[in-house]
Amino acid sequence: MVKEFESSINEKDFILQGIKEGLRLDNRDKYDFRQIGITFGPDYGRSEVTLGNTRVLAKVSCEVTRPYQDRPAEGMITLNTELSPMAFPSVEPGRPSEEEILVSRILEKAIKRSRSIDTEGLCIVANEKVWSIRVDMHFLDHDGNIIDAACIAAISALAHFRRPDITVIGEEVTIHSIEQRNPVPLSIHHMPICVTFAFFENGEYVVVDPTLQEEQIRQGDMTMTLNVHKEICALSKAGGTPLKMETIINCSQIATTRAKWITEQIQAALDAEKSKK
Amino acid sequence: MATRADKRSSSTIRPISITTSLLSRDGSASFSFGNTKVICSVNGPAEVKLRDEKLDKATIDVVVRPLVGTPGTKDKTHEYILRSTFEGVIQSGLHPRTQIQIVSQVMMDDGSIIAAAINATTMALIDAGIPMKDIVAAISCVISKDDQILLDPTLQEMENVKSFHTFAFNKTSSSLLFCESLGLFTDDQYFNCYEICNAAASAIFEKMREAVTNKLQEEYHIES
Repeated sequence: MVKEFESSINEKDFILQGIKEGLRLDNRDKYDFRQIGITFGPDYGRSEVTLGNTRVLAKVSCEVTRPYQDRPAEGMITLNTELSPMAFPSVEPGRPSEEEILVSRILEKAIKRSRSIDTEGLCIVANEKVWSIRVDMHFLDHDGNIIDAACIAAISALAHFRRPDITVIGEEVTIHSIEQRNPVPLSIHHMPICVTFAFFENGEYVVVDPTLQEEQIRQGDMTMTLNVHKEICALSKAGGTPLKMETIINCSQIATTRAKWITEQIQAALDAEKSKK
Repeated sequence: MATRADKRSSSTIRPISITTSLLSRDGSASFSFGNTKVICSVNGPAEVKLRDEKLDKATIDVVVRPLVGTPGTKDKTHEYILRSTFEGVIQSGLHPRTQIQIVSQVMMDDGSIIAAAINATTMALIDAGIPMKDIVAAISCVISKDDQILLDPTLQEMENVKSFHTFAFNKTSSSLLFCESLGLFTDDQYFNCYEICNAAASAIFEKMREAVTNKLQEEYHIES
């Protein structure tokens, strides 16, 4: 276990003063995201996302399992967001930290509970066989805002994923390998996008997409999950400084424009990948 | 002679690519054999937990993370392999009561994972500036059903084979540091594999040297 690197008091004061004057270390506007890089492949359902220096890898895989008894006609989606000491030197493998639980809860709400993936379409034979989709997220480098990066990685990997085609004759199920038949994409209802805000000086100053150093001095944070249709899927504000109503409304307006911009980036990356094949 | 699916000859390695210093850790590197890719980060020498502290040398902590699913027995075995291979190579006596943490993450799996992990770890340790007695390169091969030795097998080629071998060599004396063999084979076959892998390892050392040279040239703006 290695202790997390922490900024000095001078650095903290410097960053805070900058934020008060509307300046950030990386020369961004306070409502701007860092540069997003999305790379896919070589196999289906693998996406590597960089958000500035933050780097996340998402890998989607599938298998056939028995459905839950209370939901016989629905497929399953599992998210695995175990933090590794690669990005978080203070993490001990096998023992989830508070941060890990928070991250996995937010992503679970964003992707699973927003019903962005059609689970009924994953049913093969009701009560017998369904597809179980698994998303493994690996945090490779941490420079703040891992939630937004992980959300982009997960949703772009799901959009890139293809499951093997199947034919059902009565109770007989045949799974065709990728070589035999063109694999099938998942049906995605909408793309939830997380936008994280950090608050300073009792909520007076707001920045979008905080870096690690900004996260260390923030007084509160809020993650909004929304889609391109301007629908809010989830909003999580776990403690921190109390916020005024207007701040939240203002944030949601910023978030809608950012979510649209991120969706365009994902779409552009997906289109570029498709034209390559 | 049967050709391989990717049109390689039986003793050709897939294209190697090495990137270093790509993460914000003390040292990091990614190593790939074609579509097999492992990324490795090294932290240290840093503070050690009291119960892991060794009075005369650094504690080497290895974490291996699979691409899909939670770490299982296979990953624990890989952790053990990496730790035992590198414990002899790292000059841990120079940093008593500290910890050197090695984290290895599989990025793409297309066979020969453990060899790629060993090579990535070597590069990450070099990148972190950890003092080492020697550097390590590893390579796998399989003996196929028709008794052919195929170097650097893909996932597809690793199915239905008679035996699977992984060797790791050091650079100065190119002697064996680690080997793992699974399946049935004769001693002649084993020594053949050894010879082929030993030759291939020197090609990997050459690539590693190239990567380090390029990086230093870039950092210090040296014209070659």
